[in-house]
Amino acid sequence: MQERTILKLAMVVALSGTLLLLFINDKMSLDESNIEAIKSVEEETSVNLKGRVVSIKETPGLYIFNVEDDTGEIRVVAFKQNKNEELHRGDIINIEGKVKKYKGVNEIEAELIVLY
Amino acid sequence: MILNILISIFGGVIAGMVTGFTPGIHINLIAATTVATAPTLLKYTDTLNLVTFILAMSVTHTFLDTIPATFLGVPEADTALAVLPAHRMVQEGNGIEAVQLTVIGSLIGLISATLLLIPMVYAVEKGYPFVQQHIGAILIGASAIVIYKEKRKRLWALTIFFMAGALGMAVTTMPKLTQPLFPLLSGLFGVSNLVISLKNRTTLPKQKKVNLQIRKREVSKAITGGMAAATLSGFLPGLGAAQAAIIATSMFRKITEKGYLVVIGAINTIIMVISVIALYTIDKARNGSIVAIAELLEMFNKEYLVMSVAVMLIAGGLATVVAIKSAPVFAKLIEKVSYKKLSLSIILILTIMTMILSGWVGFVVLVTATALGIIPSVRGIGKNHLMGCLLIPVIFFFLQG
Repeated sequence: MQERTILKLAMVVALSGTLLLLFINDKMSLDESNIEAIKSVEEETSVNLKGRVVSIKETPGLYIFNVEDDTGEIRVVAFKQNKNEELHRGDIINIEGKVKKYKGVNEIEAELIVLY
Repeated sequence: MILNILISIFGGVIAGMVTGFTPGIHINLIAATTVATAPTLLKYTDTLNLVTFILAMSVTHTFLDTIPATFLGVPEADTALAVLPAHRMVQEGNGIEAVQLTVIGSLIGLISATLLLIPMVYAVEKGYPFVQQHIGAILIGASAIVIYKEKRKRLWALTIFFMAGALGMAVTTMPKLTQPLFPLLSGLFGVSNLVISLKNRTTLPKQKKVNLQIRKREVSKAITGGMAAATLSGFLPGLGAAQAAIIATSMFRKITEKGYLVVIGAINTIIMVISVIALYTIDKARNGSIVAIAELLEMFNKEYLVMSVAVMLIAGGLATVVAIKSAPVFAKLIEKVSYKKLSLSIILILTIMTMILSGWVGFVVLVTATALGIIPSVRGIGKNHLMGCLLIPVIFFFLQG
């Protein structure tokens, strides 16, 4: 087997990976989004958002808090077993999660919250 | 997102080049450091990019780590078994071909694991409950097979296995010893080899650049054995690439030295793919890189699995090019440099790193592990029995229940 053949095979493999990445890009939608964009995406879309905590409410099983960025404000729900950090008003956080609809309005069900 | 991921992949490939080419620097160290500094790093990037970086680095490492093992004689645990046949080829002037064989193994192993992704996900999902109940017994059985394969020196193999196990138990349960695996594995598989080579080595012949000559049937045999053994290794904690390679080669009556190198190359890379599958299906992390990824991502879902496969393919393709192009560079380097000075420098670097990471206790571990690591070479038995240092603590853990 010539060295050239191995290199060609390597390039094919790398290109296949790139095509796969392009294919799943639409499905994943893990772009860092802004709140205005998130308010209009479909339910179950995965999102990644950076914002400031403006209010926090606690229930027996959930934390419900509002997060704002330059484009607006959105409600975020975090189940207590998923919560990574103690949150306070004014904290800057990064949220990864899925969009859910509650009473016709988009909110985020957080899967990962990282405090800056 | 695509651009960020591609940049992270390039960064990971470069990091993988550093860890792969530098003896003694293990990807687990870099992965653990990435997680430890994640709060700071996440001010400038996001978790997806960090995960991509770690994956790309890890896959690249599996392609490149046989190069220092081949030319410098400094393997890690995963490449320990590659050293003897690869070194023989270097002494015959065929070091570049030895590297090409392991790279072919890694590349075709990666392609095979990707094509068989869905059946492997199914196999891990269905097979793990059975394996989980019998992990202790399976590991004992696998260890027994490996020792039995030694033929004439089984008693020595058993002795080395238990001595390494005792050292491993002591080291992994020692309080206040940080990064215990670094001095342990460096001593057993790295410094011990360098000490032996200091005694034996004179000069190395000029390394020839040749067209790779290996039959397709030999490659298929190697990849098939590698897939089966790597799948087992992906299930079982403590069963690393070295033991998986022994199990793989024992599946076939005859395997050539070249086929053996293809198996070693394939196993390390396939284990990486299997580890990602294990994280997705059974939520278990089987190596340091996957532990880091599991800590960064709260949930490893189907989308992350597919993304991981894409990242590994891209990194694998790039790493192949790096490996093929850098093997002649390494070959020229060892022809010019005094091998004795190089070996002494590497021993010094590993000692300093041990002192920094693990202190004086780590230094004692390094010396002890080095002494133990010399015995198999002197007695003419496989260094793979030294993997008892990891296997016995794991068997003990699972038998305790």
